[in-house]
Amino acid sequence: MSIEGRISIDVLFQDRDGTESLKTVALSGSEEPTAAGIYPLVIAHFTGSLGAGVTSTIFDSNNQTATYRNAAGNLVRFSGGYVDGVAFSYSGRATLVGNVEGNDEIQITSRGNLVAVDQSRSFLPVFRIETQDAGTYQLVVWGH
Amino acid sequence: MTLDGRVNVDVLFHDKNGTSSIKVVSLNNSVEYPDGKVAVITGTAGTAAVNFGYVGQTTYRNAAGQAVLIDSVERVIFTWSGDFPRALDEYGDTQFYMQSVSGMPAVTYFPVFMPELRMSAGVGTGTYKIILCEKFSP
Repeated sequence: MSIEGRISIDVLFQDRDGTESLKTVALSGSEEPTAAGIYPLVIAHFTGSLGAGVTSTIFDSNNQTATYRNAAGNLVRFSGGYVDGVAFSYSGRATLVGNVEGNDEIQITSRGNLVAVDQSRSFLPVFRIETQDAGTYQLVVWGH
Repeated sequence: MTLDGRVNVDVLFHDKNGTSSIKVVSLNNSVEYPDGKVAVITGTAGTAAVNFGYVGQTTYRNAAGQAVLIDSVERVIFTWSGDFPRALDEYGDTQFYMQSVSGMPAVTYFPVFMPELRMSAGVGTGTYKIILCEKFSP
């Protein structure tokens, strides 16, 4: 069994004058992550609910084991220790913080289920969510 | 003159067994911006850090040639073309810290007044692009 997937981001703005697009600002990127040498591509997916004003550790890659299970029912392990990216959404307003060796190296915020994305390639990060409002979260982590 | 636009984020993974997709993990959203303002900051950087200062003072101009002044940013999209990750952060209040590599964008919601942006020092050279969105609130 293997994993495949994609991360695709597409941003487009344009000044308009009537029906004419005068100036276009575009930024896009699409990636299909693959295995890194002997380390297979793995993902973990976390969902849940949190109250207002709380901090909750969601995923500690130092433990090398997430509670997320793949389609075969096996616990997902980031055997190489690397997280290549995260996507995070929260129905209220909350910040996802990724801590690496005591330093907060990732800090992205979601509100109203707007998806935030980071592409940091971190080694053994610990992810926590700091909420302002009560809500539900989704966190997708990919790496090796 | 008006401005409209969109920000789409689409993340999809699935376990595969032969040709069968067994377990699908999907996280995506698409937001249309019927109004508001955007500013773009682009450039080339070496290994040194780059301080952008207050983003309200960008030199970006709209289609009419007028400077775009931004007071309160709500969303930031950042991309760095280099092979080693580079971080963009807000050093006034440390409101966000996100990284991009190989042209893959990072995205965050970020409501703050007059942020001060900085791109970290790092390995190698590359080009950066930062898009700042003001107002809207879909």
